[in-house]
Amino acid sequence: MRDAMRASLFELEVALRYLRTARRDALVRLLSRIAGVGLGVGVAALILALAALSGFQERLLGAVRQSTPALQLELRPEHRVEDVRRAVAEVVPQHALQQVLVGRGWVGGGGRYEVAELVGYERRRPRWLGEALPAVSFGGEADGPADPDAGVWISQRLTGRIGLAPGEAVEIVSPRPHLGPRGPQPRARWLEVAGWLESPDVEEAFNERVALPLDVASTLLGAGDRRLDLLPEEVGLLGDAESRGGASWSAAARSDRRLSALAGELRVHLAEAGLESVRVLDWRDRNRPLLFVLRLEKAVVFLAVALIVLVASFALLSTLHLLLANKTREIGVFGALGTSPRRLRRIFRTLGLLLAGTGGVVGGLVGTALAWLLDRYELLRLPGQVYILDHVPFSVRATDAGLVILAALLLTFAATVLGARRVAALDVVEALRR
Amino acid sequence: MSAAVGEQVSGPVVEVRGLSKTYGVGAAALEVLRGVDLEVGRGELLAIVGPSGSGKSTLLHILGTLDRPDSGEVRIASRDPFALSAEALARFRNRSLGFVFQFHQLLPDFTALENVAMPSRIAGEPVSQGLERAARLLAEVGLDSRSHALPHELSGGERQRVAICRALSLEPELLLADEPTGNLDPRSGERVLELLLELRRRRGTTTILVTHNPEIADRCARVLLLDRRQLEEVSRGSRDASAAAPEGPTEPRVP
Repeated sequence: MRDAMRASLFELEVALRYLRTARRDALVRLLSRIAGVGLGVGVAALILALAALSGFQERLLGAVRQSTPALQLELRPEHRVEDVRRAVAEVVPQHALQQVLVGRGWVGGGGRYEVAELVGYERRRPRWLGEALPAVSFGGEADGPADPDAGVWISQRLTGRIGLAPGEAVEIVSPRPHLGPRGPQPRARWLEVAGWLESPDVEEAFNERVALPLDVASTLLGAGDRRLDLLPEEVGLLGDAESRGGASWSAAARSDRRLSALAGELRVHLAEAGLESVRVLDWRDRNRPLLFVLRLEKAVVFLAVALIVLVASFALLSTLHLLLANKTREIGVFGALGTSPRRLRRIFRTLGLLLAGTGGVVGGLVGTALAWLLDRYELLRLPGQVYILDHVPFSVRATDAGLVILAALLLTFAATVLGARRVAALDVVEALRR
Repeated sequence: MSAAVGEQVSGPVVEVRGLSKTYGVGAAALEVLRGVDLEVGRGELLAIVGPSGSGKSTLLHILGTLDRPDSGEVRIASRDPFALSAEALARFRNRSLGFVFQFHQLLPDFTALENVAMPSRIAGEPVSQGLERAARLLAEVGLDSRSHALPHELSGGERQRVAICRALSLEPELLLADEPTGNLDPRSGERVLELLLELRRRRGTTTILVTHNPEIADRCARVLLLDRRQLEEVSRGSRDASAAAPEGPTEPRVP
C-alpha cells in the first residue's frame, strides 16, 4: 500500500514538474492554454445550460407538482371505499386518506357557462386544486374569511371567464341526467361560492376546477369517479401546495422517493386484499410523458454542449503529443533508469489529467458562479406577458455539475490514454539518440 | 534457480554466448554482432574498443537490456533478463544496472540532487533516503555545493560527474559506460575518468566501458576489440589497481 502510494506520488511529482516546465516552451504553453481554456469553457457552458434547464424544470415541475394529487387510489364502481381503506390501513392511517369524487360539468350563471372539472371533497379542500385567495373571498369583510375546508371554491380564471362577481351564486350543472316531467334533464344546483382558487399558469386544465363538498358532488355526479386522496402531510411527506411548491429540489426528490415507496407498499397490500384493480397513481405517474420529455430535453442539451468538451479534449490530445515529442529523450532516460512502461504510461496519463483537471475544475467553478449570479440577480429577463416566468432561472445541481466534470475528465482521460500508449511503446535506445 | 534482483551472486556477472544482432531485413539487413561470447568476472573493469560503427554501443545496449539480441544467451548476475516480464525487466535494470552515457542524459527538469536520487525514487524507496544517499554521492565527487543546480547550469564535466553518481546511486551489479568522456575536453575527461574509476574501485562494481580512446582502454584490466562483428581479447592486466583487487563492495546491496 505504502509502495503504491509512493509510486503514485512519484508519478504525480514527475507529471507536475513536466507541467511546470512545459510552460517555459512558448508553443506548448500556448497550446496547453488553448486546450485548458477550451475545456474550461466547455464545462462552464455545460453547467450553465444544465442549470438553466434545471431552473426551468424545477419551476415547471414545482407548479405541476402543486396542481397534481400527490397520490391517489382510483376505485372502480364495484369497489367499496371502506374495503379499500381497511386494506391499506396498515400503510396509511385512516385520517390520511379522504374520499374525493371527480367528474366533468359546467359552471356558470347568467347565460355563460364553462366546462370545468368538479371535485367533491370529503373533509378538506384538496390543496392541489389551488390555493385559496383570502383577500378576494366572497361574502365581504363582515362575514369574515371563508373556511378553506368548506363550501364551493372556483378557479380564479374560470370566474373571470364566466363573469362571476364577488358574492354571487354559481350554477353547477352535471351531465348526469335525471328524469323530469319533460324527459331527461341535466342535474343542476345553485351554490354560493366560498372563494377563489389561485392556480399556476402551467396548464389551462388546472384553471378549470371547482371544489365542492362531497355530498353536493354526489348529488350531481352520482357514484362518479371515486378516489381516495392521500393527505401527504399526514404521513410526513411534503404535501400541501405551500410546502411542495417552496421546498428545495432535493427535499422534493426525497419526498418523491418516499412517495414511490409508499405507492409500492399500497399496491402490495391492495393485491393481498384482492383489490389489485384499484389503481395507485402518484403525481409522477400522472405526468409521465411530461417528465420523459424533460429528461429527454436535458439529455439532448447535454450531448450537444458536450461537443465543446470533445473538441477541447482533442486539443488536449495534440498538446500532450507535442509534449511527448519534446520529452522523448527524457522518456528514454526514465526507461534506462528502470521506469517500467506501465509507470511511464501513468506519468503521462497523470499529466493529461492535470491539464484537463485544471480546465475542468476552473470551468466548473466559473459555470457554477455564473449560474448563481444570473439566478440571484435575475440578469436574464424574459417578457412576463409572454412567458410564465419573467427571468431565466438557474439551478445548479451537485449531481449535474459532478457529472459534467466527471464526463470532461473521462473524455480527456480517454484522449490521454492514446498519448500514454505511445510513451509506453517508445524504443528506449531510439529515444536516447534523439 | 535465478537470483533475485539486486542479490549478490557468485560467479561471473556477465555471461554471453553466441550473441547475434542484425538491424533491418532483406537487402537492407546489417549484421552488427555475430556469435559474440563474453564473460566478465565480479569486480572486473573491462574496456571494449573498436572502430566507429563496429557495434560497441549495440553490445552495451544489449548488456544493459535496452536492446534485445536476435539470438544467443545473455546472463547478467546469473539471470536471463530477456526472460523477464516488462515490469520485472524494468525493476532489474533499476536495481542491477547503472548507465553512464556519452551525453550525460540528465533529466533537464530535475536538479543534480534529484537526478542522482531518481533511481531510488523509481525503486520506490522513501524520498528522504534517496536524497540523503544522493547528497553523500555528490559530496564524494565534490558537487555538494551544486546539488540544487539544474543540468543546464552545470559545466560538461559537472554534468558527467552527476551522471556517474546517478549510475552508482543504487550500487548496481554492473556499470555500463558508453564513451563517458567522449563529449568532454581532455582535462575534464581525465578528471571524470579518474572519478569513475575511483568510485567503482571503492565499490568493487563490475564495469564495462566502451571507448575508442586507446589511452582510456589502456587503464582497464581487460581490453576487448570488437571488429568485424566479433569480440577479440587484446590485453589482460592493467595499470588500474582496481582490476585485480577491488576494495568493495563494502556497503550492503540494495535489496
